[in-house]
Amino acid sequence: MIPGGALLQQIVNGLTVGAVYALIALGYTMVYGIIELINFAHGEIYMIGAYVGTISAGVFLAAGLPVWASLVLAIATAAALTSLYGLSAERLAYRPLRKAGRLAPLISALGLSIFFQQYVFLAQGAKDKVFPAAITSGGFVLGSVRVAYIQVAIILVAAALMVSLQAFVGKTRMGRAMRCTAQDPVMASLVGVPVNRVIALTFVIGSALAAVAGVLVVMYYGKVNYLAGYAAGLKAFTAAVLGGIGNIPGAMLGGLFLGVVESLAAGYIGGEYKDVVAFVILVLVLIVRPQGLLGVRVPDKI
Amino acid sequence: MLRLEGVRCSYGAIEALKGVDLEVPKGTIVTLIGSNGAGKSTTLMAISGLRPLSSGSITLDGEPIHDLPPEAIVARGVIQVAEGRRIFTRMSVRENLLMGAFLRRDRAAIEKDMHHVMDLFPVLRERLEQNAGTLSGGEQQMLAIGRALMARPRLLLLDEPSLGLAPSLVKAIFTILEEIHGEGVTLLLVEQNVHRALKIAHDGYVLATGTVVLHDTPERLLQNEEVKRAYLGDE
Ligand SMILES: Nc1ncnc2c1ncn2[C@@H]1O[C@H](COP(=O)(O)OP(=O)(O)O)[C@@H](O)[C@H]1O
Ligand SMILES: [Mg+2]
Repeated sequence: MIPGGALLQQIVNGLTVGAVYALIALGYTMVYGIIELINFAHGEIYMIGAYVGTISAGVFLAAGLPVWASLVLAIATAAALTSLYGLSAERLAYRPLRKAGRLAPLISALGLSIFFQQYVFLAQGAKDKVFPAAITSGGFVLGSVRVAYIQVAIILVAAALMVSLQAFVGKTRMGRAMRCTAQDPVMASLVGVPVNRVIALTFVIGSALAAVAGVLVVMYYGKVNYLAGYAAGLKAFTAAVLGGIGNIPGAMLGGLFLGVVESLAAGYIGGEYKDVVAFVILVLVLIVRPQGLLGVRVPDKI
Repeated sequence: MLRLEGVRCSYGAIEALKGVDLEVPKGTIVTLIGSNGAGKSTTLMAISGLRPLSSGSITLDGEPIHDLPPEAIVARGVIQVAEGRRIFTRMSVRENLLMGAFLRRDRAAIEKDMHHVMDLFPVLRERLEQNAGTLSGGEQQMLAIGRALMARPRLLLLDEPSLGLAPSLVKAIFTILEEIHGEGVTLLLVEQNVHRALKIAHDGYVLATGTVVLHDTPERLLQNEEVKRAYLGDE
């Protein structure tokens, strides 16, 4: 048994990582919800976001901007540029295959994932890319729990984005259009929804969220490399399945849950087992409750 | 107002429409009848821009619309009430009605039209905040028609609106259709309820395996031996 203070510490760390999983999981779940595609290249979108954020933070710092401004601008730049990658992916790799059955786009997604990895490898090299500003050091102690400022920032930013997304999807005209398209794209067309643009928008939002997650993580851990999308993507996919794929609140909950469970497993069993735990959860959920914790829809078409 | 000339449409190797000619004059009710699989729904989907033509043309007020995307056709006031209602079951009745007005930006007028639709279908007023999936079949059909009206249609395409409804509801739906027509909306009505459809129509077409086999006034179609035998049954 680990002591209570350590338990709390693991939970705080788990929530931090979980918030990141949740942000990435939203992209999987929104895209699945609308075109029933598991976008296997989504982890790489997150990784590209981390690179764009790291590189642009360096540019802004070198230009003499204050650290906080550089960080905020780096996040915005990463979200904007990375969403263009997501947009191009949809346009070039998925849209042409939309009427080609299920397998073709899935294979296209796998191919795209490898393409993105190799593209970053060729452009940026195999070495870790180090974040230019040291922001991992600051923090405070609450009882026996050490909380880094960056952890607070990650949780707050993720929470703000998730609340905004919920409001967007639930309350706005385009959000309604998105839900209609997810339910019945033909009928959505018949009421005048530009379905292709709504699908593109879904990719843009999902990619931007993943990019923000990427920048936050590279600030937290200090570095990223071209293979980082693989594990993070699988974890976030697990979170999405856990919450019920296609279900937005489910993805948020699944992410947080997975982050905490993984962190506890690292504390109780040992760090080397934490990835195993995630995949055991994925397999168990798929066998026992494929509709996920909140889901009603069965992802029978993966 | 609407004219189809030599419209051909295929699903892969199956040719569902083999050169359909059809005209809907402004201000009329035109009915399109025919047995299952004749191509009625395909005709409406082609008009709405959801099935590409392999040849032929569809014009609205003289302008070709067959290369326009569905939303552009909706924007021109051609609205379809699709077969099987297809309401958005995971949204409230209010949200369904709002989706009908998706392309409109005149908020105040949308609110007014919503009240007009609820006057037409009082059940919808009672169920406004309810999930549309919980409505009965008849209520869903009313919602589907109400949602279409929210777009302020000039031409309303209806695909078997009375299908699967109890006789009293069928009567109610046809009364509403006449009311909608009375408000100045042109109707193209696909129906299996041939007798009722011909009773309210100004013009009738009979479709069989992708071609128009008969085009005549409703009075004459009601007397036509073939129509009587094939579509009117005992009536
Ligand atoms: N999605 C589809 N895929 C393949 N064939 C179809 C499809 N939809 C309709 N068809 C075929 O096209 C023909 C016309 O169908 P449809 O327009 O639905 O007829 P109707 O509405 O008059 O019953 C039928 O032979 C039907 O089998
Ligand atoms: Mg039909």
